[in-house]
Amino acid sequence: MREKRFVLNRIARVVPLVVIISIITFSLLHLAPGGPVGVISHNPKITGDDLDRIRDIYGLNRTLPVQYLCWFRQVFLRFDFGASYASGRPVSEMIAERLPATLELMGLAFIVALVAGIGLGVASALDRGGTVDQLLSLVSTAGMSMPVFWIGLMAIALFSLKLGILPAGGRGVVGESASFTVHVKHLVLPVLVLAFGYLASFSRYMKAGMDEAIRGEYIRTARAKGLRERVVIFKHAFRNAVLPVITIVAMQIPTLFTGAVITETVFSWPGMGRLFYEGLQRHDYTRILGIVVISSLLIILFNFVGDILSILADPRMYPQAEPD
Amino acid sequence: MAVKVSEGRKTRGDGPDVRTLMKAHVSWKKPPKGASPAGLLKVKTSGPAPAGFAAVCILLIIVVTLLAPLFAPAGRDSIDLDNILSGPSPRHILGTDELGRDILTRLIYGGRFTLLVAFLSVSISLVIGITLGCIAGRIGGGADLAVMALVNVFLSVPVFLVLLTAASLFGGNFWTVPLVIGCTSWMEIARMVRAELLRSGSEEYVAAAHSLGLPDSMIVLKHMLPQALPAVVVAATIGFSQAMLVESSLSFLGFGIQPPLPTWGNMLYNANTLLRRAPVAAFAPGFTIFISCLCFNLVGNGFKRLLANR
Repeated sequence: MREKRFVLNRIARVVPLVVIISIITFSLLHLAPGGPVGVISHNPKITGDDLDRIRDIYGLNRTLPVQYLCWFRQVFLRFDFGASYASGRPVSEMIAERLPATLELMGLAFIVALVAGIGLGVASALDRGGTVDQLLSLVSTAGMSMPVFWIGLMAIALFSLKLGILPAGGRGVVGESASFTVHVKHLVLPVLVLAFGYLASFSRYMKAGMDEAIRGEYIRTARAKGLRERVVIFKHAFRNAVLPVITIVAMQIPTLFTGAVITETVFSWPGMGRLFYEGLQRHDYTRILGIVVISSLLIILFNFVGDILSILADPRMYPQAEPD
Repeated sequence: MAVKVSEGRKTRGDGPDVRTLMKAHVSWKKPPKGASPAGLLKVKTSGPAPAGFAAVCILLIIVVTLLAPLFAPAGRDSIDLDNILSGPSPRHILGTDELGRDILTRLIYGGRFTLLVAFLSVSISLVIGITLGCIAGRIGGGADLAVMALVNVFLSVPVFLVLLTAASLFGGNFWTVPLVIGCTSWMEIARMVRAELLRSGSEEYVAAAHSLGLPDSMIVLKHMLPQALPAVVVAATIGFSQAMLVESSLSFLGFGIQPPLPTWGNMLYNANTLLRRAPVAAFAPGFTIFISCLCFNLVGNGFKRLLANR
């Protein structure tokens, strides 16, 4: 049946994708000047012998394809990302520690942006030319032109430094028991800042979709039938308008990881994005590789979920033939 | 009952009468609610007026940055050790940064490099996008599948992470940043060019040119590509502002263009540490990025509207 075919098709796409992504990152790391141990070789206290030993231990003396295949087998069969170059801890452990924080931040930001974006978009489409519409136009154009970290910095400057009502960063206070209010207070700024940019674009898509849907002939029929305006709008126009929006929105999911790195850095949020950034600074290659692979897998997973949702909403969206 | 008036004249034997037609016409086009008190807020974000204004702003920015020595109050790298991280003062209108350099000057000179990097990034993405789009759209078949597969890979990859990795590994070189941004933003352009080529490939003038013996490459270059030009221009304009944003994000994290070359982005490096002592130093470069991106986006919107109205 076509559901099974669809699922299998999607899963079949995942494998080559992950392989390609890992090959790209793997090659990048080894193409860097000096290779993975390049940074350590700058240390005057490390002799050539030491470097050779390090290379031996990490298996860097083998040819690249062999290294890659071993790494691949290690990661995908044993779920072992290796040990961090910087701290020696298993990378999978480090990632597991930080992943929930990132998922919390990204998930909340996405939901907030989606709900608010859809709501504002619909309100703006219903209120053409009115206050809501103009305000939204202004805010969304501005929001799409601002660097995320700058919004974050201004928010910190205003709410933390000047007004002092929200904390400037971190996920909670050390030592204090995990009270809900404290946790929420720390979440407010990062989530809103991350959501702001997405809100700007989601609301635009929603408004455009809604504008288009309201012009449909079936809307005129519904009104002619005497249905209440609210039913007409929400049951008919909105449902049709939302579908393309969901598709577009799902395509934005990979960019959440971008936003996560920057937002986590600005707000000192202990998540995977910051882990990645620190890994870059310390040239911790195993960590970098591990995080890239995990992020890719997550992106693919979310895209898959998005596909399923859009098919549930409208079975016409099953791909008939290869799209594009 | 004023039957005579309300019935009106019929336009034709069996059509609706004039008054009904007029009523339908009027109710279909609701007047915009500009008369409300919030109508004062009537700011348009698309259309010729804001786009024109934005275009003028862009020209202004370009002129000021190109003629930087004329406008800059201090030297680009000159250090004023007495005034590190000072706030705005008569001598340094926007204050100084952590090395004592005048911020206004760095902003003006920084504009050069920011605009340059954005321009280079967009150019690279245009070259890659148009080439791949042409290959996919014209040659078709296996090449098309290959290109679309490539596009899908790039769209599902955590682009920024790979970007960061590349930027951090090859960081010192100036060309890393535009290359890396260009190589990760060509997808939309390739798709557009491909779609346009597929569409116009079935037009009659293409068949005519082909039968006249024109080589494929000439057909694509002279006849089909120009059809894609308007959409590509819109994408390039908006891509310009996206490139500026990405460059500033890279630089904020320390992996962008390296100092002493100023860019608006790298003036914000570690800006969160400056927030307390010199908020203007953290605010000003971001504000200029915001305004420039806004202008480019408005111009892009204006182009889009122009395209849609043709």
